[in-house]
Amino acid sequence: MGQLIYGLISLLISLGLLVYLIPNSIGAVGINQSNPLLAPTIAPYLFAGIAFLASLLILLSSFYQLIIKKQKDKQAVSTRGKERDYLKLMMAAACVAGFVFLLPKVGVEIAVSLLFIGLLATVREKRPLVYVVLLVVAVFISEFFIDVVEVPLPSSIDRFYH
Amino acid sequence: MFDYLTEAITLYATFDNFLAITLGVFVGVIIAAIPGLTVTMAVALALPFSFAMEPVTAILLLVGIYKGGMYGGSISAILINTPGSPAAACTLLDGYPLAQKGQAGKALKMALYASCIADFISNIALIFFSAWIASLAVSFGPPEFFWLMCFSFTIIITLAGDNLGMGILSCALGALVSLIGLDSVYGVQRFTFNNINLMDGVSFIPLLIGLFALPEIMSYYMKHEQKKAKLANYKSSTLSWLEFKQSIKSIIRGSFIGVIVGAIPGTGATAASFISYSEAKRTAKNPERFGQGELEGVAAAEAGNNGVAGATLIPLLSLGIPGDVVTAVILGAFMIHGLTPGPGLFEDNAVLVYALFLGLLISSLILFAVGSFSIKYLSKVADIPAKYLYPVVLVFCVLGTYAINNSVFDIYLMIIFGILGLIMIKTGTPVPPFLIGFILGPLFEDNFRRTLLIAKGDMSIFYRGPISVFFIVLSIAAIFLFFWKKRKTAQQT
Repeated sequence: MGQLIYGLISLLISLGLLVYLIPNSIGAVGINQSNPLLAPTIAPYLFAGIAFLASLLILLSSFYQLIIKKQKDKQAVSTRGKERDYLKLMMAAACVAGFVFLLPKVGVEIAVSLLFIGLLATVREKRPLVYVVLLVVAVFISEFFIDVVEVPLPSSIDRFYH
Repeated sequence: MFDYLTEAITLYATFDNFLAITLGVFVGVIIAAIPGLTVTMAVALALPFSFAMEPVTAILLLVGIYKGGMYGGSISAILINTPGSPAAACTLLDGYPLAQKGQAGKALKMALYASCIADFISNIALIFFSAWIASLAVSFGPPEFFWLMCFSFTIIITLAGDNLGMGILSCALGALVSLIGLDSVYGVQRFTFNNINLMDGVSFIPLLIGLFALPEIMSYYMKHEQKKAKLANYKSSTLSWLEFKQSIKSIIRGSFIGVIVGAIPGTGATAASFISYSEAKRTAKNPERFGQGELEGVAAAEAGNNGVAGATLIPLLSLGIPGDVVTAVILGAFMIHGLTPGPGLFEDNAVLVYALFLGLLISSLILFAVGSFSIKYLSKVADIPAKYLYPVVLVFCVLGTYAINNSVFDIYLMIIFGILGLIMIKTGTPVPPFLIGFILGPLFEDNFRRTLLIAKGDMSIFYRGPISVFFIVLSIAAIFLFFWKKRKTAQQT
């Protein structure tokens, strides 16, 4: 069933590409009217067409599996466990979003440290020593990127001194 | 030839190159030894750091990680019954039983020796065959290259999974993403939506890290904490000469199997290790011992998967076709440094190629040295819980992506591709065809247009030459083989 939905979504996306996106988001080149095969739209049309046919193939094969083979229903999976899984992922995603948001504001050392604390809390880490070690690692990684790789990242330490 | 060699030695013999390859092998071994972290992830994360390096140094660093990773996967396979890489899945069949018998040290040493020998043989094969194939490919024109691209797409799609539709869709989507940006001939915008960040196209690094590193981290946070198998005790046991001698035949055979399998784009190390293992079992005096803790089984599996490492570079260097995901990343590294692998590379940058060959030969020795000195300590590394490692990897993903253009937009791109990668994994869509489509898509379009320009629109040019016909036949054969294999599997089940 999942494959059927996936096939349907990819079919709609490729159809959207063929019907709307390619004609409207690629600039026209007048000089190629005599030879349309050289136009900048030919490769997008070709690949979108292939994606459309592949989606059809996926749909057909999933229909075949559903109707002809009549797959046995998979055992019901505990939804409670699944909810908790997605909650963990959402918490980790929130930590990353917070990290990207805070990076220019508080500097890389503090942002990385906060990210580590957030991610460790997500997996319910209770040992304080682990937090301390990862905070040291956070500062080490930040300084590595700033001083060794020479990435112009905002430094929390510089902000503190200036 | 001799002049090239002297220049190549001068180009290679620098401290930076030695450091790059040693560091690469070391990092590769460590990363692959930790279950959950993959070689692809390591190579993808190392790519941003290779930007500022000289081309040879950068490529040696990435190749070093690849080679180290091929061996490193066996450490966790032997010690904790969890392969660090898919290719090491075969090693655990005999490696873990040996560790349970208190012979972990012996198994690890056998894995190391087999890996180094296979790696060396594979490098020799690379040196001999890549130049020869490249000399044949010099006569290729745009139509031949067009069909070569089609053949690469076919191979990757048919070998990437059981569902042909999923593979084709993945490859087509990758090729579509590669078209974002300004058209290379007329300069018109394609799918940019007037966003200035997309004018140069989608950056390779955010796509790579997004597709291959982020989904693994996201998958980890979606999973329940799994109990790890107990770490087997590492006891320093000596591998006797007699034990090694008994396995030498399997090592040599496995190395050649690895070379042959590795030279075929898309097949990969996992297939090579299983073929090598089954051949060793088939020809063994006591096949019943395999699976119970047989040293020869470890040797055969490791020789098979390490024999692939150098051979996958044969199609890459000679034809510009990546043999697997890691070589696709290495192809990206070549392109970032303004080099195009293929026959032209041997003509225009022969010194660089020879320097690379030298580095590869020395990498086998470095693998041996790193492996010998670190076996004892690496057994501890394999036991580090993933929950402490993934935050560090995540920071490397984000800051590594940012480091390319100092652009937050690249971080957003990485996250988008990360989500796409996760969707692809969850729906069973193979990811490698997407990457190959992204890398080869522009070359496909370029050769298609050039062919039409040469022929002034005459389509018969596509099937006139014998080489074109050869690649058409190979592509059709690959599709037939896919359906034949599928039918055979269906009949067996």
